[in-house]
Amino acid sequence: MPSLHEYLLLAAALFSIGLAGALTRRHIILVLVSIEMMLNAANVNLVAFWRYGNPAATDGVMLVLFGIAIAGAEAAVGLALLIAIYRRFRTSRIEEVARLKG
Amino acid sequence: MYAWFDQIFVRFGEAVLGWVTAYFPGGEPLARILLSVGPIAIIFPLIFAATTWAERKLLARIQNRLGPNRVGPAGILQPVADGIKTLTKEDIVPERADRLIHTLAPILVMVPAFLVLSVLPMGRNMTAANLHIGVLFFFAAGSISQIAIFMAGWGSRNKYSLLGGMRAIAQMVSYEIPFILSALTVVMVAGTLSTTEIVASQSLALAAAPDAGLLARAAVHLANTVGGWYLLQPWGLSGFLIYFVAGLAELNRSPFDIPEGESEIIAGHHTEYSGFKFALFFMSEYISMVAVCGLGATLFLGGWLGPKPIPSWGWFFLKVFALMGVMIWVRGTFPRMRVDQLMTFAWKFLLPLALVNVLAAGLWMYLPSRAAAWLLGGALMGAAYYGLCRLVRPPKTGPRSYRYA
Amino acid sequence: MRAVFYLIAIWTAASGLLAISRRNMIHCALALISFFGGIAALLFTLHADFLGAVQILIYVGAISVLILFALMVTQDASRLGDRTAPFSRGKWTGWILGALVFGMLGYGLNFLESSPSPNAASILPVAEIGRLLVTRQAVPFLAMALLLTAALVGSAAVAIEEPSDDAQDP
Repeated sequence: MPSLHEYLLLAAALFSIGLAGALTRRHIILVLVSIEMMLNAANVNLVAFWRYGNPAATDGVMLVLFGIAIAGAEAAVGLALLIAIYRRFRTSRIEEVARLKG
Repeated sequence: MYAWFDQIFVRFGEAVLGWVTAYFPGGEPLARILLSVGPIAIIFPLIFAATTWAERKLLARIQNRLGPNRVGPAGILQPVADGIKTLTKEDIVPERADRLIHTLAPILVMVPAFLVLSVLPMGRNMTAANLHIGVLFFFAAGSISQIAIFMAGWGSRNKYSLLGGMRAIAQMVSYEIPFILSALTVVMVAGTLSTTEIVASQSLALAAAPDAGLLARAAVHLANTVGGWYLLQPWGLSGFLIYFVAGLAELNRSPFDIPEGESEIIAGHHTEYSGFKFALFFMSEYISMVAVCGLGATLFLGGWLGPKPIPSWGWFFLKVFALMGVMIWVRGTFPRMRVDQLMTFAWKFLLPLALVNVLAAGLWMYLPSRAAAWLLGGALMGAAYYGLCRLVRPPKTGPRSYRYA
Repeated sequence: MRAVFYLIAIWTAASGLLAISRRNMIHCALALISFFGGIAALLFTLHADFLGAVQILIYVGAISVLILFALMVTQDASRLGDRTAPFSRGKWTGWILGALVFGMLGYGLNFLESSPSPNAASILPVAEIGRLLVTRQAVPFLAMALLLTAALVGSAAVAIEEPSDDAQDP
């Protein structure tokens, strides 16, 4: 069984990958996706703390459950916004959507 | 005698396991895995072969034809001939296709098809993987197939493939919601996600009077093994119908075979696949069909429960084959739907009906008297069905305008 | 057990890196799906099978399909392999910042005082979670239901085609 340390290190790596993706990519979808990756990395952390901590303390696990639901809502709204943006600006590059007045 | 015959496969597995531990100490975990995986990997491809033959025969009968009758008696060896044919065909990958994705898709599509079989209880003590989250696992693993179909559609670099792939995932995502909601009612009432426990919860434990005659004892046995099926409860009946219809759509089977509608888009995501890769897609479709029928039998038809002379595994496969027969019958009977009808049906009709069904299941659980629950649940489902039929109008379509490229 | 963990770790991290570095958008999305699958596998190794199954059902089955759809809707198929400048101008800052954050988090882990052993809970109790959702966590649960309904209605309202828009830009 790997130690808590290893899980936390892996989650940190995955979080950093997500962060780098959010900062480097141009396409709106990929920025959104990178944020989802960061959320996922945090979920691994929470579950690892449950596994290596008190089994009766399921609050972190509940947080993961709610987090997944929120991520679903976020993806739905974000992608709907993206479609609206694309219809208006004819682009899905994040830096080209800089006009405040449509 | 009956108990021995009922457990014949379990006993055989235990005997092999005992033999392995006696002669190859340390080989036990591997043997356990092989004993769970092996039967699935052997039996279901055989069922697939038999189903293709049965489907062609049955469809031919419905259409007043003969069907395959050249290879073997009544064409029974036709699947073998088909298999040899597909194996020897040239494997063509379109020049501009995304090679990696095009090749990966037929492999990936097999994974969920076989994974979901592992949680089906195929008889008493005959579940390959008795997970405590069995039903959830079934839906989770099943949802992977959408990705494989998308990869097939996109990787082929063909507009018909792409259209078919997009249609397939739009349809599967839409119908997945009523599909899961209809299974949710069973999970609610049984109070467990484990498929084995769901089957067990459908058996009754009535006791016959000690001086009862043979006939009375048989009647009690029948009631114990059949009376508890969820199909025989108001929410279960409507839940089963919703499950079956949504399952047909999940499988992309007629009348929901829009993703492969050959009169519109050639063969959808299969268009650019030939030879063995096509055979893999074909096989995964039929094995998923067995799986969906198997879960339907498990959730609503009492799984392996059934009166005595027939062993438990016999009952399970009888129910599965009966459901598959109905699917083939439906294919021979109903015309294909249109895309707009498909989406309206999923979101405006099936989804609200499934939600009302969850309410009916809740009523069943909390109303003290069974008669009141029957009356109220039945009335609720009837009213919902009637109301939705009146409210949901098919989308209006104007005169068609053709554009020639 | 540890070997399995490292296999999954390499798989997940490699998929994540592919997802943010491929130029072909669809490849990115597919690598992302593999990443989600890797996370689910990690949850399985942590004995949270319920969460792992939920992860596959929601992320692999629903969110990634949504992402693929958005990709297909917002670009012509011919432009999907768009190879021109997928990265933003400040990309090196982004890479360096990502590496720095990883370094910081990893350095912080050195101060982890004890290395606890895994608890005895063999599996995540699903029934217990269900009970909590309707008792102690009922308020967040209801809020979540409201949020998801609002998201459903809202995204449909935002994405629906306005006929006047079509008239403006053909």
